[in-house]
Amino acid sequence: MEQKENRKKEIIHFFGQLPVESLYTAGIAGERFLLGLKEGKFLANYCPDCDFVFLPPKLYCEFCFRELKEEDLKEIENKGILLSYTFTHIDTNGNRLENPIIVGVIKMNGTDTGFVHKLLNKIEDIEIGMEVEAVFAPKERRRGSINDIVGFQRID
Amino acid sequence: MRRRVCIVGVGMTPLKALSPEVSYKEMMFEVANKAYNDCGINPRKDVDTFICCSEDYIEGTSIFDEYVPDQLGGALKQVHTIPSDGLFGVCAGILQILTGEFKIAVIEAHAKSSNILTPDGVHMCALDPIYIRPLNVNPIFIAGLEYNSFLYNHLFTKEDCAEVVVKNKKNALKNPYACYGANLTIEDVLNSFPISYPLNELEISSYADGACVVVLASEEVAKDLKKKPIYIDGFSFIQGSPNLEVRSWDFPRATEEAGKRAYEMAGINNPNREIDFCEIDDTYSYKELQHAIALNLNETIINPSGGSLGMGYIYEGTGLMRLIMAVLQLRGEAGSFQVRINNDLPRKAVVQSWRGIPTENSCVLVLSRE
Ligand SMILES: [Zn+2]
Repeated sequence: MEQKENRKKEIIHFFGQLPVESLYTAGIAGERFLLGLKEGKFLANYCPDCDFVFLPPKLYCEFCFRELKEEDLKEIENKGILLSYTFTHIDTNGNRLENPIIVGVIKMNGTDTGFVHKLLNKIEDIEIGMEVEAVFAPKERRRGSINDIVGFQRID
Repeated sequence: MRRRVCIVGVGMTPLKALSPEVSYKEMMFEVANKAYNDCGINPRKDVDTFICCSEDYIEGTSIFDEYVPDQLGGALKQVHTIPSDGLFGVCAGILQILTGEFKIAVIEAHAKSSNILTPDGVHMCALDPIYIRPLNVNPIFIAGLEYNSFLYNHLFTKEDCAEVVVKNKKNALKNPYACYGANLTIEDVLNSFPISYPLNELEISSYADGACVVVLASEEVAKDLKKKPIYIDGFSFIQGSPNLEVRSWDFPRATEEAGKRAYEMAGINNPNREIDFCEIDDTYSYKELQHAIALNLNETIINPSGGSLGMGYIYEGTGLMRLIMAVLQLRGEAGSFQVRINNDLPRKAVVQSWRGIPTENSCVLVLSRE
């Protein structure tokens, strides 16, 4: 009887995909920020009620819900502190990578946020608390994208 | 006294890594029947509202709410879906019953993970499309960043986190609903593949297939049903920020906030002393420690079921799975994995869920039996 239960059954399933493509609007504050990157600059903004500096900048403060003015964007210096890092050994499909991608959270000087981007140093040279700076792509290759920054590197 | 809503029926299938023979609808039908039999109700006559927790991308079908009524007995009745963890659906059901307009609510969540051919693709699409997705890194990096920050800022070690995996997989060996029970050593965990430093492969809950149904009722109705009700003394559901740049990397803010609110509602002042055990999120090893300290439950019995590390991760069903495990314990129906406190059944429990990366949310329930 048990063998009968275990007999090989034909199991039917069908393959399918969700073919979705989208455009994502950067928005007023986002566009200013991304065009800033194209110029090799970091633009941040400030909520006076919360004494909090946002990078990337926002048109509103999520803590007090106050509207933040677009014209109040200020350039901050290209220097920050590494808050955390990780070495990711799989790619976006879950396949193992030969060389890990290193990602960090950086608190840029004069901001209160943790900016997420890649780190360019070797694994053994990375530690929490180290000073880093952004390395921008050559000017002619910048398109107003987060990838206008190649990554961050240690300042010694 | 505050009016309370009760859990009167539960149904769940043992989790499996694969379930090629049944469709998700058949899985839902099976557990719905279990839950209805558990409390002795007829869904066509007795249920006022049905809530399913499901996400279109995970189902592979858009506008998924149209696909849920029939297999639950909810056709031509009041049905809606919530794209979040199952415990958020429980909170919606509680609130509907508290209006006084609904007496019995059914909450469902499931996963047929083995049908998702590109789970990393689903996760990728959850990342911010302007600032994060273009970096083209597997979203697991977020767990790596959280974990590293947690170790740096708190007095926990990588070994403490590995110990969570060893404990939960061992607990799961006793739980017939679990599919990833194992006898491991801390070294096994530390030597497993480093997915995103410091997070190793064995510290990540593995996907499973399964479905869960929970039936809620008002206190008045619950008294007349088959089993002794389990009371929901407190509940809260909190959303954090979707923006990675403002989140707290080392500490789950949303869980702390949800815990505070749920404890206040339940009149719990000292969770570590008043709560007998908890079933809390352990999607990744370090998450169990984070959630335990955020909820002040680090001195209680944590995840006697084996958690999702030991049982399996069923996407939006994971919160309901934790809730059902807690209900079985409070009822004294947990059998081989029953918790006893000085030879007595536990009286109070906390259940918590998190929807996983990249979210910063949390739902907390405080349960008791009388
Ligand atoms: Zn503000």
